[in-house]
Amino acid sequence: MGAKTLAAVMLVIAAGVVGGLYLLSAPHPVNASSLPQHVPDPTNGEVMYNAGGCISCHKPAAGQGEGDATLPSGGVPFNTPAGTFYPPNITPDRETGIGAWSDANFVNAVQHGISPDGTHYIPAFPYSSYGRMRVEDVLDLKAYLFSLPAVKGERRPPEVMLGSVGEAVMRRATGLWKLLRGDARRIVHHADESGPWNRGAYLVDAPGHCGECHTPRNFLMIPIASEKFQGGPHPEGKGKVPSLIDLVGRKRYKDADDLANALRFGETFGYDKLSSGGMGAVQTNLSKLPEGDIKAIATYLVGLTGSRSRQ
Amino acid sequence: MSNRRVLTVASGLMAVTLATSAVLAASPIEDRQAAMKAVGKAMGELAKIAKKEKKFDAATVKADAQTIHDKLGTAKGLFPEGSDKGHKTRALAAIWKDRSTFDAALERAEKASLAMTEVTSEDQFMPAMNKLGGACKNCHDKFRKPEE
Repeated sequence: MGAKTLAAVMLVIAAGVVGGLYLLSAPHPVNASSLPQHVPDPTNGEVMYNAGGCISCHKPAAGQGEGDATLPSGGVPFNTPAGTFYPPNITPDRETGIGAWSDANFVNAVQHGISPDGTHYIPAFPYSSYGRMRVEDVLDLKAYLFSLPAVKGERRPPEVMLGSVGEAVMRRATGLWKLLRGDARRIVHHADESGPWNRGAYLVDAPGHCGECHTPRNFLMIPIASEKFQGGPHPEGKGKVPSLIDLVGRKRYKDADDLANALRFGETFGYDKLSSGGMGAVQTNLSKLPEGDIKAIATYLVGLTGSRSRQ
Repeated sequence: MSNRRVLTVASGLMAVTLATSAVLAASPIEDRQAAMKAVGKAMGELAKIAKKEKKFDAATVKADAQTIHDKLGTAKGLFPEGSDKGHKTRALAAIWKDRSTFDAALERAEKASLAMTEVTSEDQFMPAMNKLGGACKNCHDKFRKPEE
């Protein structure tokens, strides 16, 4: 075989690999017909909104929108090792927000990380966790967001290497990341555990997306399942995210009630461990949940011990 | 003693002085940590009342609030430029990058603690505690690293 033939063969293989990866990375949105018949409940949607901590990332940038800091009109920079992203406006404004979105658009975005124009969202948006939510809860969340006042926001492209080309490559490559990560599994109900435990497991693992920070990731930025909730480096590079394992044994909290008080009242009850590194905002969001849900979260979390196989 | 010798001795003395001041400069970190620890301890006592583990008593509330107010007053001067290094500290560089926000946050806490010293009845206690706790959290959220 001559050098030219060899080069040609290599080129064909390379093209095949690139083409194969391209095909593999394609987004697969769900159809409207696959969604359940559901009458949405915005009150439950608000619970999902607070459990999901939507406002933490989608809070309005200073001077943006009509200046209501409680509305998720977006724009505050989110710094990651891959670049700076500007979480979008999720108020129901038709032009700059999600006001024109269908239910399927919303479910695809929140649960599958696929935008209405069919590209992958960068996983700084924790759709891997939201993918575990019940679809009904996601539709309720949409109903809640659509009940908020529409605010005009500004759309800003991310600041990443190589600009818009870099962004396109990163978005497409996210499809491969999704394949490697595997599908988000729905939360299984464990009949031998209490109602609050099961509710807590759901809130923590699905909307709460606690593992996004509290579970360490491997070099591909995929959470390491066998080290779930064991803590790790802070995503913004300063300090550590603490482990959630054995919170009582390690004398972090006395019991589930103590942890529930900490989540609900924070520093007002003298609990100062939850207000740094971004957890302060999480605690603020969680404090707005119904008391029973906060207790459920605490019940599940104090049950996470090293020896316990089920997490 | 030759001039050169004087110079050598003088520069030697200066080096010692500089080294000493470097050690002294490291101490604001420990001092403010001690102050914050005292604040935390007094806050813990107030929290017991909030959690209904302890009965409301105006005199002890006043004393604890006064401790918090005094210690926050000293803490103010214990964040000099450059004191983000040299000792283990959870203070974030943001304190010095955004000094006016930090100063305002500390002042908010000082004011909230002063208001707590003026609490005389049980029904005034929780609203004052919400403000004080909120002020602690407001500053910690922005300017404190998570625990190691």
